[in-house]
Amino acid sequence: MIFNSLTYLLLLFIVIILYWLLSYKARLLLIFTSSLVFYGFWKISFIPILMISVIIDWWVAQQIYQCKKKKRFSFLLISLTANLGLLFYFKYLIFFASNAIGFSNLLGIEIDPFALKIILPLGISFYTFQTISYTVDVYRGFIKPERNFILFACYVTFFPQLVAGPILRAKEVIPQFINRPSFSFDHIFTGLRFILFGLFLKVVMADNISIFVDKGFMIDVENLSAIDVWTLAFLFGFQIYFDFSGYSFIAIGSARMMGIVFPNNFNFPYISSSPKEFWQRWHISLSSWIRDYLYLPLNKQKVENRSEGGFKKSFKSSANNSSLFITWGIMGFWHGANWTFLLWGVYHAILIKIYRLIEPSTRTFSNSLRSVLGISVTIPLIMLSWIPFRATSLSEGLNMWAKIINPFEYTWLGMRENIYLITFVVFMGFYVVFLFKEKVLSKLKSFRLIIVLFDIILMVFVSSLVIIFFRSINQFIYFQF
Amino acid sequence: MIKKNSIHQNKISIIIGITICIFILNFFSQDKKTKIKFEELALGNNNKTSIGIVDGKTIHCKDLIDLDNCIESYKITNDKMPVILSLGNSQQHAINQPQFGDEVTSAILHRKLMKFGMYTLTLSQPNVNLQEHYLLFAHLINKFPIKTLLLPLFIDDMREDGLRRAIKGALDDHRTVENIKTSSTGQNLITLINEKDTTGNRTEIEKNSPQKNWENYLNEKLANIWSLWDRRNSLRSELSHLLYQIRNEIFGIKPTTARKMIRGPYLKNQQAYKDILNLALKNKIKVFVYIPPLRNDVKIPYIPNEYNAFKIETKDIAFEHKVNFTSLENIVPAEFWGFKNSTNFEKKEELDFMHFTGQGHKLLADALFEEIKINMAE
Repeated sequence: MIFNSLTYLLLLFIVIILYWLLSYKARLLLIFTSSLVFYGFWKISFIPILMISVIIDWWVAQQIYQCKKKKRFSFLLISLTANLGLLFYFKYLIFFASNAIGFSNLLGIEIDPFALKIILPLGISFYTFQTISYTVDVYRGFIKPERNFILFACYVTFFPQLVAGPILRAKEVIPQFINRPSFSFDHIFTGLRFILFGLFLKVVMADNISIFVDKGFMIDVENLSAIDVWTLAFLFGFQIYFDFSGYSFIAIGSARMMGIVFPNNFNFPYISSSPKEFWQRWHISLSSWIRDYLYLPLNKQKVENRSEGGFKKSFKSSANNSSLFITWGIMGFWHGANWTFLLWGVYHAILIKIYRLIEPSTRTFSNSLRSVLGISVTIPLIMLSWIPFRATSLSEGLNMWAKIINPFEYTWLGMRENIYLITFVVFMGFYVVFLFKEKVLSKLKSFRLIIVLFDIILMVFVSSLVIIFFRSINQFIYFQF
Repeated sequence: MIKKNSIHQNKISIIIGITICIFILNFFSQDKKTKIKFEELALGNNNKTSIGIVDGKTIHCKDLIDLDNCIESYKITNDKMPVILSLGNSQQHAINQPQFGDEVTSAILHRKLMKFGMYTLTLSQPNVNLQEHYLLFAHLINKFPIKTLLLPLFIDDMREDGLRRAIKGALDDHRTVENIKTSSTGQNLITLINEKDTTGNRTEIEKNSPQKNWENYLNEKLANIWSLWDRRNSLRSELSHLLYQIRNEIFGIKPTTARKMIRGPYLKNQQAYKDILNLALKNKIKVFVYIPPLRNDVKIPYIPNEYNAFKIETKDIAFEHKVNFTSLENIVPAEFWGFKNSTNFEKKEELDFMHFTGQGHKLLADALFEEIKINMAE
C-alpha cells in the first residue's frame, strides 16, 4: 500500500479508531495484522520472506541472551547470515552474477548468461537493517530480548515504517508499545499535521517536479550542456528530498496518531555547511545506523544506541580512511545493486575526507563567513552526487559529470526553458521557507494571534493543494531500496 | 500552560484551516461540471476543440483512450477499406473563431476520400512530438490496413519531448514493441518504460493489483459522494494555466515571442521522423510529409535561420527516403487566421500562429486531397 493513496488513508482511519478502542493485547494484534495487510497489498508472497526474518531474529536474540558468552557470537552470526543472505539473494545476486559473467567473457571464458528472475521484496533493505540492529543490540547487551513474539513482530513490521523507514532501534519503539499510550487529541492532530505536510511534499512538490526531471534525464547526455547537468542535479536533489522527507513525515504522523513518537529523519539538509552536517540532517536514521553498526565499530570506537544524531567522525584517525571508504561503499550499495550507487557512496566518502583536510584551516574564519562559504560549496557538491544516483548507468553518470568540467559546455542550453525556471523557483523557495521559519516566525512567537492566523493560512494552502493534487500515480523513490 | 496553548492552537488551526480549504475549493469548482483540460484552457476562448465526426461516426481521435471509438467506426463502415492515417497536433482539432457548420480538416478530407474508396483516420494531440507520432504510428499499423501516412512537420513540435500517459499504453502491446524495437527512437521509448519498471521508481501502480483495484473503487465512491473530488482535474488545469499566465506576465512572453530551437528534443524528434519513414517504407506505406500552414502576414515567432534550416533538413530527409514532401506553408491566407486570448494577464487579444478558421481547414483539406489525388493518378 502506498501512503499517497485513498486505500492507505482508509486503512489508517480504521486502524486509528480500533487502536484507541481496543485493549492492550488486542492493540498489538491489530498493529501486527494491519501491518501484514499493508505489506500484502503489494504482493502476498512478500509476507513469508518478511516473517522468516522476524522469526529468526526473535529466536536468535533469545538464544544470545540465554547462552554462554562463547556461543553468543555464533548465534549472532546465524542472524547476520540469515538477514544478509536474504538481502544478498533478493537484491544483489543478479547484479553480481551478471557482472561475473561479463568479467569472465572479457577474460575469454565464455559463459552463457542465464535467465534469473528475482523480484525484490519491498522494503527488504530497511527491515533487514532494523532486525540486524536488534540482534546486535542484544549481543552488545544494550537491550534485553523481547519474549513476546507479537510485540517484537510489531516492532519490525509496524506499517508506518516498514517499507522505507525511519530505521528505528528496538529501545526506541518497543517501550512505547509497552507503555500503552493513552488517548489524546494532541496525538491525532499532531499526526494529522505531519501527514498533511508529508502529502504536500509528495503529491504537490515531488510528483510535479518528477515530470521535469524525467524529461531531462530522457535526453541523451551528448545533447545536454553543463548548465543542463547542474539544473538536473539540483532539480532531482529537491525531488528526492521532497519525496523521501514527505514519506518520513507521513510515517511519523501515522505513528503519532497511535501515540508512538518517531524521531525526525530530515532536518533541512540543504542548508548544511559541510558534508558532515549534511549527513546529520539527511536520512538521519540511516546515517545513525551506519555510524553505530559499521563506521564506529570498524574504528573500534564506542557506539551509541539511538537512531538520531547522524554520521559523525571517529576519534581514532589511523584507520579512518579505509573505514570511511568501506562504510560509504556499503552505504552506496545499500541503496541499490548498481555501480552508480557505489560511485555515489565513494563520492560522498571523498567529500567527507576533503572536508576533514580543509576544515582546520577555516577555523580562523568568522562563523557567518564559514557558514556562507560552507553552504555555497557544500550544496552544489552534494547536488552533483545525485547525478550518478539518478543515472541509469555508470557511463551516463560519468559522462554527465564530464560535462561540468568542460568550459565549452557552458555556452548553450539543451532543455525546455521551464525546467530552468522551475529549478530556480524551487531552489529559492526552499531557502525562503527556511529563512522565514528561522528568522521571522521565531521572532513572532509572542504575537500569538499572528501565529495562529499564519498557521490557519498555511493549513488552507497546504490542504487545498493536497486535495487538488492527491493522486496515487507515483510510488516513493525510496521504495526501490 | 504554554504546551496546552500550543495544543489548542494546533487543533484550532487544523480544524479552521481544513474547513476554509473545503469551502474555498467547493466555491471555485462549482461551475466546473465538465472536465477542463489545461491544453483547452491554453487554446483560449477563440478556439473551439472539434474532432472529425462524419455521418455520426468518429474518424478523428486524440489518444489511445478514445481510439476505440475510431476502431468501432471503421468496423461499421468497412473494415477492409484502405486507410489514410493523418497525424497532427492541435491545428488538426481546433477551429479559430468557429462558425456554425465549420468542420476540421479531418472530416472534410475523410468525406472527399471516401468517394475514392479510402478511409481517412486522424489522430492529433496538443503539443505532440515526433516520438509520440512514431509510437502511435507503430501501434496503429497493427490495428488498421494503413496505405498512406500524412505527416505534418511543425517546428513547434520539434521542441517537445516525452511521452504522455494517454499514449504510453501502446507499449503494452507486444506487436507495437516488435515494430519499434530495432529503431533508435523505439529503443529509447522501451528503455524508458523498462527502466522505471525494474527500479520500481515512479512507476504507476501495477495493473490489477489489490492496490489499484481498491484505489479505483474508492476514487469512484468518493467522487459519487463528494462532487469536488471529481472536479479536481479542472482545478489542476486552472492552476497550471494560472502558473503559465504568471510566467508569461513576468517574462513578457507572448505568442509573437521568438521560440528558440532546443538541441536535445530537436535531434530526438528528427531521429523519430527518420524512424517513422523507415517503418512506413518497411510496411510499404506511402508517406506525404508536409510543412503545415503558417501565418505569413506577420513576423514568424521563430528564429528565421533555425526555421529555414529545419525546412531544409526535413526536406532532405524526405528525399533521402524517397517520400513525397511538400510545403503547404502559404495555403492559408491572412484573413483565415485569427486571434487568441491573452496568454498573460493583459486583456488584449493576441495573434494565433497555430489555429485557423473553418475556411483554413477547408483549404488545408483541399490541398491535401490534391496531393493524394496526384499521387493516386501516378
